[in-house]
Amino acid sequence: MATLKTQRAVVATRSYATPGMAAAGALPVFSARPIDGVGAGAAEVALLARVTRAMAAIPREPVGNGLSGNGLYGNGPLSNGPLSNGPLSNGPGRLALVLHLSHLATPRAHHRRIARAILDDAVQRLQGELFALRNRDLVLILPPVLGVEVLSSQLARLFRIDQPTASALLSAWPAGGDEMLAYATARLQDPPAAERVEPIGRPAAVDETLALIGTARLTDLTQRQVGVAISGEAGSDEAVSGKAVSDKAGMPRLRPAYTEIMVALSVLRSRLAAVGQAEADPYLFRHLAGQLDGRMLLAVEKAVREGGAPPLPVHLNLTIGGVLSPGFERLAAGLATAGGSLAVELPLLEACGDPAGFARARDCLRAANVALVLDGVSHQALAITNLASLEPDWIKLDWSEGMAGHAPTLDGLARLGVHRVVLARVETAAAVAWGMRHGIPVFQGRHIDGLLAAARVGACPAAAGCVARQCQERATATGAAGRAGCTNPALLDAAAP
Amino acid sequence: MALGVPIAPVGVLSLTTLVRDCAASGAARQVALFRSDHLARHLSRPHHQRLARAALEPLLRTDRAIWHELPGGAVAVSWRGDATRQLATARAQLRYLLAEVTPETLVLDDLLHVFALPVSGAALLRLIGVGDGTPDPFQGDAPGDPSQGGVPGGVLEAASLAVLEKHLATVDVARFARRSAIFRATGDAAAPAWEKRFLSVTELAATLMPGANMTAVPWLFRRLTRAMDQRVLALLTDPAELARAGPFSLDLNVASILSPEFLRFDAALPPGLRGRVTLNLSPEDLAADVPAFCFARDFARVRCYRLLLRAITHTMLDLWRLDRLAVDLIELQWDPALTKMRLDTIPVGGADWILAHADTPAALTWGLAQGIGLFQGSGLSVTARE
Repeated sequence: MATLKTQRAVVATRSYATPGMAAAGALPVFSARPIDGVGAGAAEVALLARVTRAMAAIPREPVGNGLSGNGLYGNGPLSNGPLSNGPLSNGPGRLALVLHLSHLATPRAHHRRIARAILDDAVQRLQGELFALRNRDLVLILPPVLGVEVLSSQLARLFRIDQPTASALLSAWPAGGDEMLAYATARLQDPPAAERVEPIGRPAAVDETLALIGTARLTDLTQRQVGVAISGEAGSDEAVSGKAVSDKAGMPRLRPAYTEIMVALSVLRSRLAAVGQAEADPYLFRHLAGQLDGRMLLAVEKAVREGGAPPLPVHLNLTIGGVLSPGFERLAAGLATAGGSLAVELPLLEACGDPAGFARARDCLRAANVALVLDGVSHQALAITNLASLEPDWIKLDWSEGMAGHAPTLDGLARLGVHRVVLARVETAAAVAWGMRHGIPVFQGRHIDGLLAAARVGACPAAAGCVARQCQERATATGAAGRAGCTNPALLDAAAP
Repeated sequence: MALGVPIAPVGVLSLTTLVRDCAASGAARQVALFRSDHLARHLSRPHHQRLARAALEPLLRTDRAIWHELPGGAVAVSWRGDATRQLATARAQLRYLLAEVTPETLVLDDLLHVFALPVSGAALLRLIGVGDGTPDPFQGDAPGDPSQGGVPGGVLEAASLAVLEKHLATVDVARFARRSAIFRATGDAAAPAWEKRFLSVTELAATLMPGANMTAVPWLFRRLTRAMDQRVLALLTDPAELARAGPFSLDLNVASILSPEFLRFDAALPPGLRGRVTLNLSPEDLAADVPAFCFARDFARVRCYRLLLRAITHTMLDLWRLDRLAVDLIELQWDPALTKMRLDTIPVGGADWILAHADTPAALTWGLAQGIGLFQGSGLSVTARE
């Protein structure tokens, strides 16, 4: 315990943090020498002051420029500046190591917490000063000592999954240089970063979520999304711009392949915002999905019984328990009788958590002539698993910008065979272009929803006054209320004209 | 302290739903009910329970098989169609297990009951305590009312999870802390290599949820393990706890390695233990959030922890590309089916194997023949003591 107290005391003298960081779950923060600035936080003002002092102490000797070239961190003596009073002096050749956490596309609470822990450690070992800024960046100013390269490579390795381009994440500038001055000056204009909510440690979310699941109408908790097969020239502009839905000869074309019925994460998110993102807890979410299985199976079976088979094959998100239940047996039989087609989507997480149960569910689906779709596969998971061993009919790969140029992803696709891959969570034209370029045949996501909605509005005789956005939202609804205002629901069901 | 846990036994729930579904639709199912709660005391140790449950596994190879965890340690398996062969196998294995018991005190028929649905549904429900005037297990105490006490026979239910997490945060977990040894074995010699430190789930449940089965609902239990991780880490942050400790390992969730509690544990870790602590991760936790796993793994490396992928079964060996995970150790769970496999054909990227549940000489023999040097199991504990 004594060790811990000593460490905190040292950090307290050398760390500058924006107030509120402690509340966000970071290590205890001791804001030393708080400095007020108009429109800026103490850490930003302190950083600018520190950079200005470093500029005033620019050495007569040339200083190395960052992490490249020879003479990496300057070659002046450590205590040659005007304030030769130890490691916190303005000694020449000081280096600023900037960790641009604000550049992360999907920042997570643990990114800053862990990076902060590593840099706090470096503050002591390398006698540096740490500035924790409001835009989530961390700045370490330290003397030209050995060990900085090790630190940089540790950080680059740590973030290589979340930010594959190290140069976008790490900058190493002379502390008194122009780059650092420009950076520190710009930080004064940054607005405070929004606090991110973490589901862990908020047990109230469980009660709230259960109450919602138990009381809400099924149609309020579920939504539909259409997957499309895209054929045509890979990466052509038509394929990704929406013109592809047209029937022009030789043009790529979007052909609706299935309708997926899933739990509406957006509903959970909006209804539970006050108590945290309950759906972000994958384990709780699996349990809740299991609670919905029975209701979902009954509802779809009833719809088939009363309205006949839907025009497109149905993809249903279920759990292993749902597949093995008599309710599934009834639905599969009912849909087959009505001439419809069914596929079941099971998440990779369930396959990993209960491999034996997954195998039983797969056998059951096979016996019922129902396709198995392996859902929730990230490109990182693709790289460390052999998904073919699970024998799915289709695999839903979640699109991420990190996939472009990611060799293990391409290797994984090649081992799997792209012919049975669905690119999911497609939100941009670039995603479609990437998928087509690599031979992926089926796509699903909000970008596809937009393309289909634009095509419907363009072709629907009852579209007067409708806009594509409106049509897109109506198409996601599973209940009549969500479709209110549409006088051509048959076209919504068909997804494309 | 006993919590007011709303009882909604998921196994009872799923079994009751099955009975009612079959009654309503006429669908046929068979159910084998195993009363492991009726096992003699000397046969009710964890590894006996494990063997008894393993005996039922052939039934899971039947059509539409579902495993139902029931109150008091009982378990039921339901399936569709004919399973004469699988049932005979299960009975034979159970008889083997019961060989130590005199026929006067216990017969297999007291332990294993088979029902045909929908005809025998009512009898099954009566036996598990549903209907016919017996208390309805779906009706329990109001959530969040610790004063009413736990209801024996329940399982962890989502509505009670919040209450349980809250109480777990305040209860003194030191008395639930347990250790078990991992052994290094070479030929006929075995010596402890390190200790695994963990909280006794059974005893924790006995205190917080008397008579209940916390692990019967796997996803909720997994979430609960995060709260347990926090308490274990807090416990080990106490300087006295690790003052004379040797190398040890901990089961942790990925999210726990990235938590403030872990950073405090790391800061308090005695220098002599740095590099001698192993963090055990479960495969489903990896799958749940692969980027977080990679981040946690690389952070653990910076801080000199060893990483172990735990609870790998023989059926999972094909799924994971073990050489791409960059972990130090892989814990393989013993299963007789392993005897048909060779480990040297599986690329593991330099990781070492540990054979877990090596309770029998057959397991030990196979492991040594495969070049495995690390073992966990009751058989090894005896060998080492001798």
